[in-house]
Amino acid sequence: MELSTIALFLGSFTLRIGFFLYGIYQDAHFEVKYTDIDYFVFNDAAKYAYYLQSPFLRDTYRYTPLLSWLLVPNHYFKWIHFGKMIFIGFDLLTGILIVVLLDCTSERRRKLLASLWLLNFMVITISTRGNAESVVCCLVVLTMYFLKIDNFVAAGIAYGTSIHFKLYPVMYCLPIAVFIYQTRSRSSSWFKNLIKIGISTATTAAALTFWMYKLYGYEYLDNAYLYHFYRTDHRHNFSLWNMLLYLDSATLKQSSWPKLAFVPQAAVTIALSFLLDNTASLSDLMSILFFQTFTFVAYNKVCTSQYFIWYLTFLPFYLQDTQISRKKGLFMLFLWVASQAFWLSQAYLLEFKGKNVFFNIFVASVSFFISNIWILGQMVEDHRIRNHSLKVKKSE
Amino acid sequence: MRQRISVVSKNHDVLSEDLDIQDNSVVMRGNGQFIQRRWTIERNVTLPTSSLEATRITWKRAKNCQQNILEPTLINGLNVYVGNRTESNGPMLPNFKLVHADEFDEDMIYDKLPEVATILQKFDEGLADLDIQVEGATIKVDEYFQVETDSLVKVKIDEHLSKLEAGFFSVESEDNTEVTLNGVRCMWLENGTIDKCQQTMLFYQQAHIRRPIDSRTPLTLRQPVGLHPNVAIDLREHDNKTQCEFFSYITLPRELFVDKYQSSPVFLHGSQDLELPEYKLPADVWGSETMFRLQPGIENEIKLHSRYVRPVDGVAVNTASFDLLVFKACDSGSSSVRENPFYSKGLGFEAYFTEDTVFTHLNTTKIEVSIPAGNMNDYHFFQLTTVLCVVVSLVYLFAKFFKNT
Repeated sequence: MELSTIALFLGSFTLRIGFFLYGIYQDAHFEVKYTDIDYFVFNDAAKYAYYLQSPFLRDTYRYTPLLSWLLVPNHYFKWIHFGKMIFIGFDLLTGILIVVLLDCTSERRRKLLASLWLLNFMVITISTRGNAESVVCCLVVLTMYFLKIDNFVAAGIAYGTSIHFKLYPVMYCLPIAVFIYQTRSRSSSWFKNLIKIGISTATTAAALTFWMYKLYGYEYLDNAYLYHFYRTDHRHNFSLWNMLLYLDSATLKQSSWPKLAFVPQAAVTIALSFLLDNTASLSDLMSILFFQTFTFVAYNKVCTSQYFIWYLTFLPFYLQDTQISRKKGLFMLFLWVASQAFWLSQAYLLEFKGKNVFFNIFVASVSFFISNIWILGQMVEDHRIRNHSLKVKKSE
Repeated sequence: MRQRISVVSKNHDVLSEDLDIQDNSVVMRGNGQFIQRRWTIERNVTLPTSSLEATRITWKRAKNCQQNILEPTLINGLNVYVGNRTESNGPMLPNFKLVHADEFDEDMIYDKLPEVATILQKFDEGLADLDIQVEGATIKVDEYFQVETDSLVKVKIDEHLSKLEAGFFSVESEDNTEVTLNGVRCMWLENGTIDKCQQTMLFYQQAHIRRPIDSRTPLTLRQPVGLHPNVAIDLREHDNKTQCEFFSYITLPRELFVDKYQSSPVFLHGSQDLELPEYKLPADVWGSETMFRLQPGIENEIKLHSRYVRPVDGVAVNTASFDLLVFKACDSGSSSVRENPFYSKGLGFEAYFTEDTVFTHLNTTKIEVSIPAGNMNDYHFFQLTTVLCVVVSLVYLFAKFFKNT
């Protein structure tokens, strides 16, 4: 490995340790805690798990029990921050896999793109605050790694585990299947591969879920999965749907918006899968997964900052071949940040000043949504133009 | 049914002038005296008394009137406690359920105790407080009120009563803990005539001591309030004493809640949900009651959270209010605290303390917080804009996806 790559890893490791230590300091000395509220939920649930009880005894624990098992060492070592180191580990492993998976001609570019994850303050903050998103991100990237080395059974195991952890990666199954199908001209065993990954994914996800169901019964299914279908998403968040759903949740005769909200989301995510053609590379697949996740988050009924991590994992793979000019790229980034900042300023007025700014929050959500959709459209167009010109080059 | 009337006048001299003792009645001229009227009823039950649930029902007017010195510390509004007292449930944890309502509701009382219906027929919740306690087969109904100046109160036996006793006292001396009352006590015969009236002197130790308003412990609602109201209680003036501890007892309405994982209260009963909006809580949830242990010598903070409230027509801010008590609970080591002639400790926060505890009330305040509500008039605009955004975005994206490049 090159010295500069080692320096990148060491640098990102040191940054994370720095944030981690600062977090411990802030928690001990300041009223506002650095540690995420959810981390305390995981930690409490892990305490029940440590004493061989159900993690669902902790109110609002709505995750797979595996997550609470991960944090059992917190109670063994009697150190609440231990689990954050596990999340940092997954976060760094994700970074390493991104470096391995990037398909760049220039080493410098590869490191620059990998830094988008490894040196990203948003990513670092989220994992050092004790958010578990890095676990799922790592499992999804690991799936890509196994696809790269043609180990379809292992890919299925990683992918199935990610679905068990958080439901959303299930939407990747269509583009992954289309991708394997599109390799038919290059690989005679494409059908065998598809069956392999299909069976191993389904078996892993089903086995883990059945195992947890055996241990914790209906309470597990209800909290980890069913809850997400009947919850009322009334508290303010970035989602375009939020204000409508809040007003709607209080009316006697509820409209069908909460149930219909997933239709446009599903339509776009499904449609994206068909952008993969028979020349598609693994990088193309990951660009599609990036678009898909971006779409999913933009159209989702609930949207908070931690969801952005889900697509940040795939951003380097889209960017490695982009033809968008630096100026335009910076403008897209500006739009994304500015509309988010506008929303955050309004949410601050509601949450901490008690101001009645629901209307402004709605306007901010709409502007964030529109920014997201425009950015997505530009990126997909760029991706298509680039693939088209590649094909033209090849046929010449 | 027996009745006992106790009258206490703060003004020592005028007691005798205000009383006119006749053959079968005593007429008293009103002069701001405090009155406790107690009925004692034996319940008509066939079950063994030990199997009956203890019940306590209290009503306290929310408006700030002068504290009746005969009255225990009651929580504002209507409170129905059902359960067991300390002794039946081990040494530490009382076990009772509380239902609270801000408004007086006769049906809530009759539901539990149909026997008190005749007594409460003339009860005016705007003028008097109420403390009903049931232990075993005995129901004690205590009514507390103040006599208006120059009105006439006539005490005599009526057909419902089998026994009547009335005491008219003035405060001889009162210090932090001990009270001496001096006056006359009259007993009625069953035929309605007064049997005898005699000089009586009473000493007792107060279980509840109230600080004058100007020496109340500072208590502030932190500004700006936001969706997470914080109440600061300044105990920097107080030292740590081994036999005393400081507490805050709060009854919260449906709109507010305590996150027990965040702030570890001594207890939290009632609604404990951490996520639901107010309008999605089950209909039978009234709110919650909670008690926090406070540290002397520092400024303490109690963290509360508001729920989302039902949207209304127009831009509005809802108000949710709650009562907060700050008190010091000290072991007195003296059993005479429980031998108060006017009230016994019952269910409620007192049940968490030993019998010899003396409570010094440092501050009792009603706190109001505002919670912004969504505007229902925006519904159609939100709906139209959302749908428009979704439709246009779909057209735009599908064009980008599939239009020939």
